[in-house]
Amino acid sequence: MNTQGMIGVGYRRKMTNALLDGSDIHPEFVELAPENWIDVGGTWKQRLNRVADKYPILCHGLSLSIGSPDPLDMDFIKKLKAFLDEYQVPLYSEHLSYSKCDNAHLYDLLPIPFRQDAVDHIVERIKIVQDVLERPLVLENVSYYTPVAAEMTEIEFINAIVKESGCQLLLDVNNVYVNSFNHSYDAHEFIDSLPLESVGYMHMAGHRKIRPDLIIDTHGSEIIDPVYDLFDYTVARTNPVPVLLERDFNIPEMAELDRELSRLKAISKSHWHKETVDHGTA
Amino acid sequence: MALRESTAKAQSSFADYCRTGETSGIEGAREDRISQYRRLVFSVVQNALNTAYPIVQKKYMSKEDWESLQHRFFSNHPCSDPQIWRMPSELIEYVEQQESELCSKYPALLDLLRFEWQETYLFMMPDLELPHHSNHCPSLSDKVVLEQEMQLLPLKYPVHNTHPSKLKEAQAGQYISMAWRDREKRHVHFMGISVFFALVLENLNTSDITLLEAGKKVALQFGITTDHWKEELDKFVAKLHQKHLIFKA
Ligand SMILES: [Fe+2]
Repeated sequence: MNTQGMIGVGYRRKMTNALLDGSDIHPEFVELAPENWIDVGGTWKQRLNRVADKYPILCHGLSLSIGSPDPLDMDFIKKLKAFLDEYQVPLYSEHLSYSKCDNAHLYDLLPIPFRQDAVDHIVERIKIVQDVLERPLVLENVSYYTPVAAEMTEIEFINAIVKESGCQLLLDVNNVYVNSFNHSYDAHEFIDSLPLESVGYMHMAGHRKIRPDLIIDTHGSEIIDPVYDLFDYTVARTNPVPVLLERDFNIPEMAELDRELSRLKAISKSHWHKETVDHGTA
Repeated sequence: MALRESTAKAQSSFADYCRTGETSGIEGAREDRISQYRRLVFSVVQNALNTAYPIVQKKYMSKEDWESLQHRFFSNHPCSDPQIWRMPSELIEYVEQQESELCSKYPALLDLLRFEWQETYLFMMPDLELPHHSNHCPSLSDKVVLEQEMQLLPLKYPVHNTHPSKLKEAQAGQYISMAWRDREKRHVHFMGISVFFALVLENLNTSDITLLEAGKKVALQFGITTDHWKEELDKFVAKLHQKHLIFKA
């Protein structure tokens, strides 16, 4: 299934009727967290199946904890594979973070120390996960509010992971914006320094400034203009990939989300469509 | 493992801080920022627990006691489920093993937690196939097929039919809450049943015997010498059949 250049939305349960009805919101795919659906039956399984009949499903995991000092949870990864197979998921992504430590899940994204040994550790684990899942793993640059035990910069860390593992990058443009603000760097320069040829997926979302010096990546409000601008800048420099609108809290009217999808579509089309035409005539 | 000890230690102390809110220092972390992580992590956990246990949270325990229980649970208990929707079930085991003082203050707490979790679990659990069966109502001489999406929950307090505000005066005893997910709308339903019937159902579930044989076994166990139970069992089976929970095999 080719989802390149498609614009999708993060599937929340309360969107189900609107997605099935399809009159107020028109995503080209939906993304979901497999953790919220594995081993689920009953009414939600039925609804998920109906959504999956109508839209391609991409998956974005929460509990893989690729950067954890703990061993990988092979039982979980096997269940994950069965789920990805069942729904014929063409793209599985996760976070470049850790969410489990000392055998305890934290159900959130903790920042990995930017260090070479962490890179080596993660590269090894990416290969194991890809082998078991029999599909590539796409890893996301996460928002972080403090570094922990860093010995290199974030951009060096991400580049090392991608280069040494050969994995694809899920580029969350809003996260770049949030991190550039919180850690005082230039977002455009950061984008320029990323391995853009390895980008396999993109995320866009809203955030909230809670202090003059701190933005939290909430996924709870609309995307702001500077993030759209950064998206435009990024799309001009990448190949066509699927793009997701993430909205997890304060879910607005579907028509409002649809307007955001349309704006993302218009921006991505202005670059990617042109490129396809250029290639076609070359 | 490629990871250096100091890296693992920094990760561990950061995670530990997120779980407990207490720290004796995290290498290279900004002190003015780490509290955001504790806030975000703990609110995810609180949300999951509040969603799973609305009655315990809003109608049974004081706000203070509930919140401090959530805090102790997340600090002391390593949550083992990678899927957060199932994590709240771990609170039950934690309370049972480590919160005896709280259980004396709130005697029906464990029952109420189990009762609320039963509803969530039955609503969400994987689909179980109904074995091949006839649609007839079984008579006592028949072997039966039971709805598989059905659970019995033994209770010490009648949390299944008592308003939470009245639970303080409730009598301890032996109660059974039967819950099932219907095949049509996939809703969860409850019904209080007697211990006698619960044991009959359990026998039917574990051995290949007729209703009469199961009834006799339980009557013997209870030291019942009259035959009155047969009529009662017959009525109970008719009621279950009406609800599509039992069929002639
Ligand atoms: Fe994201």
